[in-house]
Amino acid sequence: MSGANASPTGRSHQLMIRTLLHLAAASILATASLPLLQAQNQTSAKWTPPRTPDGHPDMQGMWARRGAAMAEANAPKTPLSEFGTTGQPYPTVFNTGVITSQEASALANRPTGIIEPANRVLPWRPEADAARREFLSHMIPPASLKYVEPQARCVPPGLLGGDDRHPYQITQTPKSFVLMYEYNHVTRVIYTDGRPHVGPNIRLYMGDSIGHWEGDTLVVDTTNFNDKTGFSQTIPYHSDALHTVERLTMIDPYIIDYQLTIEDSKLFTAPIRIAGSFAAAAKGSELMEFACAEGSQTLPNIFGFGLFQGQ
Amino acid sequence: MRTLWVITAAAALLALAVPAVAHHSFAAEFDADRPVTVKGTVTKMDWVNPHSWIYVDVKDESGKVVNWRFEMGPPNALLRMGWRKDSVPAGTPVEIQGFRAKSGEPVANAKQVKLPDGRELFSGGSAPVLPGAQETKP
Amino acid sequence: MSKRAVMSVAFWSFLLALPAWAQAPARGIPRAADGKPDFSGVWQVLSTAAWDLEDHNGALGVHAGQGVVEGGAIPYQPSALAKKKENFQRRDTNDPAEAACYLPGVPRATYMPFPFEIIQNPKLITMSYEFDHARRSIFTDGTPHPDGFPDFWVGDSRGRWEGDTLVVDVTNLDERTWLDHAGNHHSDALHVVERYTMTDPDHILYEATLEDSKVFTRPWKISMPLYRRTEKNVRILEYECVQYIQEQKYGNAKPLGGK
Repeated sequence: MSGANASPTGRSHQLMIRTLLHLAAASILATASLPLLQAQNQTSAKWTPPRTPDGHPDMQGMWARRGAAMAEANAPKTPLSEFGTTGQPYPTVFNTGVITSQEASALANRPTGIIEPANRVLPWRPEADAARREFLSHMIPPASLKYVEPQARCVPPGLLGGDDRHPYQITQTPKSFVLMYEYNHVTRVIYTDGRPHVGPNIRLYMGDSIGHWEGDTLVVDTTNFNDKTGFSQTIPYHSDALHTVERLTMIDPYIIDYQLTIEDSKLFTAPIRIAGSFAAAAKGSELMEFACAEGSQTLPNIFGFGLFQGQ
Repeated sequence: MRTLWVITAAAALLALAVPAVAHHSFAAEFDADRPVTVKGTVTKMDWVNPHSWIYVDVKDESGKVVNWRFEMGPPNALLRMGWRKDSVPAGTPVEIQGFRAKSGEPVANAKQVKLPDGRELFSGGSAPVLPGAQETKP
Repeated sequence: MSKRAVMSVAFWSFLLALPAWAQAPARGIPRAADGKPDFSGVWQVLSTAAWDLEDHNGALGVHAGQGVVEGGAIPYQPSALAKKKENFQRRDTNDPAEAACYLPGVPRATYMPFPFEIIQNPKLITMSYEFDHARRSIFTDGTPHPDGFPDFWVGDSRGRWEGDTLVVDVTNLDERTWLDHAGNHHSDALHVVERYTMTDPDHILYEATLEDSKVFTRPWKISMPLYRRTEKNVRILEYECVQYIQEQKYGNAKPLGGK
């Protein structure tokens, strides 16, 4: 230290400056190392999502849903399930999933499918299990219209009966959280305005959904399902007692954690929980039209006649 | 000039844990035990959901021309891979592998379409699954 | 200032302010966070354009109506008019929307006798229709119609704001849709421009200009009000005519072939 400021006030002043400089240097170093810590996923700095004007996480955009499937252990073997993924004529991904290998491996480590019960053996009521096996036995070839797979009939898919190779779009308004399926152009408007469910005699393919926020998780309660949608190739229908709860939590810019709890007291003795993810779609993706019945040749092929004489 | 994009390795990585439900009653309409390969000339293509169709004039053994119809994937898939309406114009020679319809008509579900320059549309086979991802096939 | 001068100033100020008054945006309409009129909610037409866009009388199952076509008649080219008459004769089996529950196209989706929900976002306005759960995405993010795309049953819609009016340009419309149940039709050259203007909180003026050089002699225009469904907790429900028609036509049918 120079002798230029040798007075007592001068020295304590210089000491203060040195301390401040040290503190500044230390905090610069700490800040610089934060990204490194975050990359190692060891930081206490938690990622928080961008927010809509009303303060909730902004999950808007295009997404690919992965993993949300009801694939049970010990499933009955049927001709339907035999042909499930073989002979698949077109790609399993429509270029709507995550776009980097880093994100793809993050997705690979996420829980998928049935997570409760952990052994994926579903808690069937014996008579319900017997009934669906009997039903499955009439599906290939289909004995009548009712045994044709819902997808081949362009049935509005419910929660799990769609085709997740087609993307989703989420849009949010002050009163609703809207999940648009490209598949079969169904739109779920999940009302977050505090309204009750519709009356019990209103029955919908897509059910009636009301949502509320628990912190940064959207909790969706859906009732009023009809009994005309399916869950999977080996669970071709559910009952009208179906009640579901979904929980959506955005965990980073590329992934929304998706948890689905299913209760159907006419089929199962206990709730079932399914895990999946919505993964951010490639930039510039747009929802496209998917007009199912207009182009489907399936029923004419099965029954030998079309229903529309104008073509 | 329009570019046709082959599915990249990255895209293949993305094919994990997609539910196996979505084959639109392949098993009810087509016969996996009756594979067929035809060579012919495209007459037209219908961009239709849920399945696009490609029509191909095929000469049989006697020299007679039969117009075959092949079921393909949805147009949204084709569009996202970079295909456009005029990508396979009428007159393009193609070789198509598929599975014949149970009805016996000249209709099949296309597994693979090979273009004159060797590029392939829709590689068939099982969905690739990343290790650790839950297999959804029962 | 003299009283006279004050009056003069007031008079001229009034006159000069008149044009601004005449163009003033509708007062009291709901606005979104970005300042644009907020169309969110459930809407429905009361016109009977779904049966026939032109003046028409009642019949069994048909509601009478005064036409919504400006000028009265749709300006068909002669061969197209003949086709329309043919369509009309065969409407019960040939109307794609009624006979097969095919997506009704644009602008017919707007005036089907069912409610629809508008979900508004600065970059995307979504129309979710109860009829066949039809849906249109109206991209308001400045993007153009994509190049080389096939036609869609609901077309490709790109929207922009002109003041408080939403203007939607619709192309790529599948030629197979009909404009109403009376057999009014178009070709794949159809181009529709819609205008949505909120005239008060519960009404939108809907206008659509149609041009199709293969079918009409000139562009023509329709207009009608959209009425807000103001019931408490209103929502659209489901009209799944694809399933209803399948039951009717295939419910008792026997499948062919199989093993």
